[in-house]
Amino acid sequence: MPSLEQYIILAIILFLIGLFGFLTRRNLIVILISIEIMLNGIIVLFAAISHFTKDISGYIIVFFIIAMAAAEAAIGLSLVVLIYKRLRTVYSDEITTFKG
Amino acid sequence: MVEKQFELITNFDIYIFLIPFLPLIASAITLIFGKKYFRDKAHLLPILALFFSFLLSVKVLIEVINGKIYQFDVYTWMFAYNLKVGLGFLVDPLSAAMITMVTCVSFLIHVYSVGYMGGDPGYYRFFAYISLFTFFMLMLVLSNNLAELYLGWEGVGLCSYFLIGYWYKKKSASDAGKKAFIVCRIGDFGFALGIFLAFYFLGTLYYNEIFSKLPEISNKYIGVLGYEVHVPFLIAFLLFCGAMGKSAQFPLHVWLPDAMEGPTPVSALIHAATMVTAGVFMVCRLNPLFELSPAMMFIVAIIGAFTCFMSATIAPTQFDIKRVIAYSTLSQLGYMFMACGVGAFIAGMFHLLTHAYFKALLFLGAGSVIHLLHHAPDPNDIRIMGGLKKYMPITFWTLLIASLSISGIPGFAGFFSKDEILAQAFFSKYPWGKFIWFIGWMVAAMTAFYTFRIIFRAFYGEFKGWEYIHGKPHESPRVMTVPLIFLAIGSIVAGWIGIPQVLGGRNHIEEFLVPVLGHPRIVHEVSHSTEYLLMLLSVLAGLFGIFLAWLVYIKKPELETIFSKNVKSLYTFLFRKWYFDELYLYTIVRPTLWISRKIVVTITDNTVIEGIVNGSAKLIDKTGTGLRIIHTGIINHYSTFILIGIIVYLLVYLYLK
Amino acid sequence: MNWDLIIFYYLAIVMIFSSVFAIFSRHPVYTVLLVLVMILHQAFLLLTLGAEFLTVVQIIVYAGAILVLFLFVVYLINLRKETKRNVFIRRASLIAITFLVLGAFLVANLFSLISLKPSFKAYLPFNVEEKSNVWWIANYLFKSYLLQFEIIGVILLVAIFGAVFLIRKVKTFE
Repeated sequence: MPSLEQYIILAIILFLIGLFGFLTRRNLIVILISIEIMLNGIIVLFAAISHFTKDISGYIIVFFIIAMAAAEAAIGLSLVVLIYKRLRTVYSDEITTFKG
Repeated sequence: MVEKQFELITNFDIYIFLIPFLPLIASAITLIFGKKYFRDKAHLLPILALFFSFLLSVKVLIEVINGKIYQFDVYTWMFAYNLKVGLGFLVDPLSAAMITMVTCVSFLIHVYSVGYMGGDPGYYRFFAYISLFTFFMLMLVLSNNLAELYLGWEGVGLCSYFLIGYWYKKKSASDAGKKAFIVCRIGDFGFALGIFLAFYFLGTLYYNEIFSKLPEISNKYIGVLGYEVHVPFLIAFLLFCGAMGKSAQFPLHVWLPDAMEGPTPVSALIHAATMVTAGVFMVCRLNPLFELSPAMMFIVAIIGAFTCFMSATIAPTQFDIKRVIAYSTLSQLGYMFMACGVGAFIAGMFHLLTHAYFKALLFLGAGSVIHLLHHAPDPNDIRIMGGLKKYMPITFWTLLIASLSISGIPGFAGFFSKDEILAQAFFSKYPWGKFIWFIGWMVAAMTAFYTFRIIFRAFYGEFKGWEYIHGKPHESPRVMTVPLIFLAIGSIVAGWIGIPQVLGGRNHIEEFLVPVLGHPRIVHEVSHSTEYLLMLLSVLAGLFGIFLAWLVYIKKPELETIFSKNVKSLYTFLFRKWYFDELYLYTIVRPTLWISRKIVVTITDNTVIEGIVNGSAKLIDKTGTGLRIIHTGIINHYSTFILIGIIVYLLVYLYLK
Repeated sequence: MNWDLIIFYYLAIVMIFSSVFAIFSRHPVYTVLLVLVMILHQAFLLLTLGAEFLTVVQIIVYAGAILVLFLFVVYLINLRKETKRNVFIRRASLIAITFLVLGAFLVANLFSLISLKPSFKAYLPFNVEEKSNVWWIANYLFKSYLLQFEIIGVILLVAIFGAVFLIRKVKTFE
């Protein structure tokens, strides 16, 4: 059984990878996916903590995170579709209507 | 003469309070509501108010004659540490005489203005302003402390500015108004310094307390710029600066001739009877202070004499009828100051009271003629007048009475007052009295000359202004001639209150004013024969002046230009008013304007103020432009900023717990 | 042979690599599929942690619904391979440095924050030997966390409404 610290390191690495993608990629869809990667890192974190403290709260949180991620993905994707319909592009550096 | 005992009343008396405040209320109502509601009837309220003020003044005068003096404060105006100044009233023989004269003349001029200013678009403004002016003048006269005197002083200056520049669209009128106000200001600055100094040394501003504390400072000296200066002299000199400005004595006399740009009733009220006499009133009121310093008395006398002589030399050369009368006013004011300068305060006040009547009459009569010619390009020019004796009889006879009065012909008011001054100057205990007498005697002849020059030019000979009037010259309407008649009666009768003892009368005015102004400062041996001789000399001087005018202007008209052609440089010097205006222009006006343009405008206006105003706008602009760079529109950047914010928050949370 | 450790390392390495490749790939479909791989491995990681219910839920919801939704949208907007332009925005390296900073910081601190204390007492304890994971989660979910459960339901409802509302055709005034 790996120790809690190893799980935590894994979670942090996953979170950071997702964060990097979120801050750097131009494609809106990939940005949304990076959010999912971040959330999965957090899921690992909470599940590990719950396992090692024998408290159910971590698993419950995981449950809620999954449900919330579904809702957020739905809304995010419908927004991306709207942007594509209006501006014909899904690349963030071409969407500059809010510039200035 | 028996010293009169007075009963002092210190309760609030509503009648005295109403004397100045009725014109104030009338003025305020007319000013606020005049344009819409009163329009052509705007004269009703002020005339009504002034009539009642006049009746109340007469009532108060009768009470003062019966031996009452009123001295009370209405409320405390300033209260700061040890300075306590209230708005108060002091009614004693001096102020009672003055308010009667002021309200009477002001009332008659209000009535006259109904005819003169009829049809003028700013009709309500005129009446509001002259009522306001009357209010301030009455406050000045009724004041019981120096601060209230200054209030009235400044107020009459302000109203004078309004009224001189009444026809403000005419540039010369608004310039004249500015000139009057600015020149007066110079004097008022000295006046304010005098008040400060008086408070510093005497600790109070009330007249009665000042007079009781005067002996304390009679020998004090203070150091000013290394010189030891006598304190009463310094205070009196500074206060006299204000009098020089307000009463238009040399060197601050330049505004009075230009003030003739205002309407004629204004000239009559302000620049003949009331405002310009405020300086004389102030000197007479503060006569114990002035008498403490013989050097100051000398200065007062000399300045009065110089102004008297100077304006009497300029007057015969002017062609504008109002300017001639303005210089005549300057000259007569000089007489009053000469009287004060030799200690003859009662004579000075007596001349002030009679002068008010005949000078106002001269102005209003001239206004009558000007009103006739008002379509001319310059209606004041005597060269287009002539032969009006048969067309305007009332104007002619009243003006003749005024001219005889001012020339000192016996029987008329001016004779008694002027003669009183000359006699007391000659017999004065001050050493310069005889010199003052000589100047006054000479100027009497000149006064008669230039006054009758006007009479002969305007009313005899041929009328030259046919092209400026419709039909024949006609007399002015009754609303204008009736005040003329009343003033003419005053010009004769006002002198009878001061018939000297040598002529068999009992000098009422002297008896009346002695408690306030003191006995005449004359040497004790006064021989009656010398007095008769002096009287004869002054009458001869007046008659000589009239004869000379008759000779030049009626008998031999070719003599008229003999002076101007032969002694051309002297004539030009006199015609150009002794070049005072040019002198002031080059030494004071131009440098001030230059300094203000070069230094003040460039430094403060352009750099500082515009720098602050424009600079703050520019600063915000630059900041905004700088901060706008953050708004790129790319959400990745926005997310980075959120991340940075979270990092900062975490750092703060962890390390500053 | 410590199988637990080997399985853990395998799962962890695959997760990390697949997510890194997902971030760096040019083709959006590759991204989604690599994320799918990551999800599956993460589900098995949850299994090793003793939460079988969550494993199944993860596979059904995340892999089965959310990623499929992503794929639908990718095909809907016809995304092609990004050949001409950069994958990343400009100055991405700067941002990478920011993270390394954040990462180091988190690693240094999270240990102190989340270290297990010996005296830690579980608030809502569970015992795997007695009942299964499903039983325990259901037990606490419907008793202690009932309100939060209902709220999650409402959130999902709002998400449905939002999605339908956003896609509606806006009536333009001719």
